[in-house]
Amino acid sequence: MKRLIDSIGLTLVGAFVGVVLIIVVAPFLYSLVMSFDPRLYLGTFPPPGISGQWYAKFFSDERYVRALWTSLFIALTSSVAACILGTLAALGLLRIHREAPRAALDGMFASPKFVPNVVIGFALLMAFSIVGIGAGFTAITCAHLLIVLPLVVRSVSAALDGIKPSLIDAAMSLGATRAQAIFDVVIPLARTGIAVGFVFAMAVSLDEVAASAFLTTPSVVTLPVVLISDMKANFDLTIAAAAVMMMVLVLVVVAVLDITVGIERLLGRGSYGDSSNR
Amino acid sequence: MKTWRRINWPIMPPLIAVACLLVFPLMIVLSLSTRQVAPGQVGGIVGGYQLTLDNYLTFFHPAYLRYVTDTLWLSLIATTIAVLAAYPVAYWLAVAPSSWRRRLTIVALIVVLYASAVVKVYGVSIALGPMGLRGSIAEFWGVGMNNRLVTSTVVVVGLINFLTPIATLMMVAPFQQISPSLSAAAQSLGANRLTAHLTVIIPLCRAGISQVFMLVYAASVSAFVIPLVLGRGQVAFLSNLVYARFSEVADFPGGAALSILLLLITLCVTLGLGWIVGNPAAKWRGYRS
Repeated sequence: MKRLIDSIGLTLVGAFVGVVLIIVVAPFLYSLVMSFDPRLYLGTFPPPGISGQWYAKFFSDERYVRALWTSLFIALTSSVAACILGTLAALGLLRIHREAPRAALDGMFASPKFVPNVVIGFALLMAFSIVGIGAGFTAITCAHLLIVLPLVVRSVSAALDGIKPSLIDAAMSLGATRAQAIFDVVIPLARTGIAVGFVFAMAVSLDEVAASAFLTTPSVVTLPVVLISDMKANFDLTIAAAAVMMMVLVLVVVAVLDITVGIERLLGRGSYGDSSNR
Repeated sequence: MKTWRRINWPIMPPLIAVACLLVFPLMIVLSLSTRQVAPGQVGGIVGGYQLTLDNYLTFFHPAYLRYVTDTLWLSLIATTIAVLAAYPVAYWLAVAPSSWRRRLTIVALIVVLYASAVVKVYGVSIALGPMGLRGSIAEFWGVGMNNRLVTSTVVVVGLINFLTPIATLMMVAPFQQISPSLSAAAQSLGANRLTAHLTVIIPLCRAGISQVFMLVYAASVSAFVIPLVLGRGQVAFLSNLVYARFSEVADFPGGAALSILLLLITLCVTLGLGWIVGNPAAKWRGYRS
């Protein structure tokens, strides 16, 4: 009886999870397959053959290629800036020993996460117009910097969590200056956290649409914004090809992360996990 | 000299960045939202400053109310389904020993989570488009292909696609705080697995699960790309309305008021966590050592 109830329950749960899993995975496969469609119009699934025409079309379209470079450049700039500022923030938080001010500053650095990206985009556009900078490269980079900063602060703080101030004190008692202690002891220990933060910052920035949509100009447009506006206008499978390539880019990034850091570590093992893979 | 060294220098640059890029712009939006709209002016902004609440009062117009209910209601359906599906997967990830299957699942989840939203929304839009399953959905509801109900369903599917990986990864943490031997203990005392789970594990994780639910709901409420593309203008979220105020009608004070409304809704959702939480898991952890 007990086993019967168990197996019925598990089957029902399994079926439900299966359906949602299909909703999550199927659209990816659908885009992937359709991007190789040899037909010149949007037909039914599956396509009758295989062709690379949409990929060729992507690279021959100057608008897409320029947007791709803009996206990569903005992602790189904003992620590097976020890593520098995020590491400084994590180091600064280490120096604060009282609970209340540290929690307040912690919340301050996490706050962009709780503001919808649309609001960030709109607010930055208003502010930059008043200051006289206006929309464009600087504005998009600043928006992305703000959006990814909480990610970096969190991952660097997590990496520094184990070491705390005693190590700095130890280094300083052995004759190091504070600066030496930070550069020779703390930064190397935080390296993994900075790398993880950087990778995720890149991934988020490369994909940001809601804030960027407000801040683009006719000459400075990021790739996802171009793709989304084309998607609304026409059904062209070049978008599928571009989307698949962006996904491959993320796959490569995640694979690098897995090889260098080990992806299971990102989840942690909680209080009861085995300690072998910590 | 001493006060000079006592200043926490490292924290200054990031603090200034957040102040300049978030606090200052939000203040401007707040002040803009209380200004009168002037049709014909750039951005609808009048030269002189006149305080008004008109931009907020328009929200009570029935036409606006539909956007609010669409945002809140469709998000609620999608979040519920995503969290329910994420639950068993997250539980398994939390208690299962390290294996290639667990590893593969984590890699897949992270790839799906960070795979471009553009890919996801495009996949859904063609898979559930006129050449895809849109006809079957229309048949299921017994309405025409261009009915709002069909579009709403497509938006909900898009949201589920976007929210489930987030929910799964977030939900692993609360389960990791529970000793797996508790379920085994309940089963050895005669409970079946389901009862053991419902009466032992869920009460212990209640706080964590409701927290995940609220965070996922907040992410759904502020979704932008999914309703923009899949809603086809029939279904729009508040975020899309903010964008339309900027790109279509150039009514910046109206857009500012909408931004503040959207911000307030997401803040209420995320801060609303506080009152649900009566945390028995924390109590249990106290007995552990």
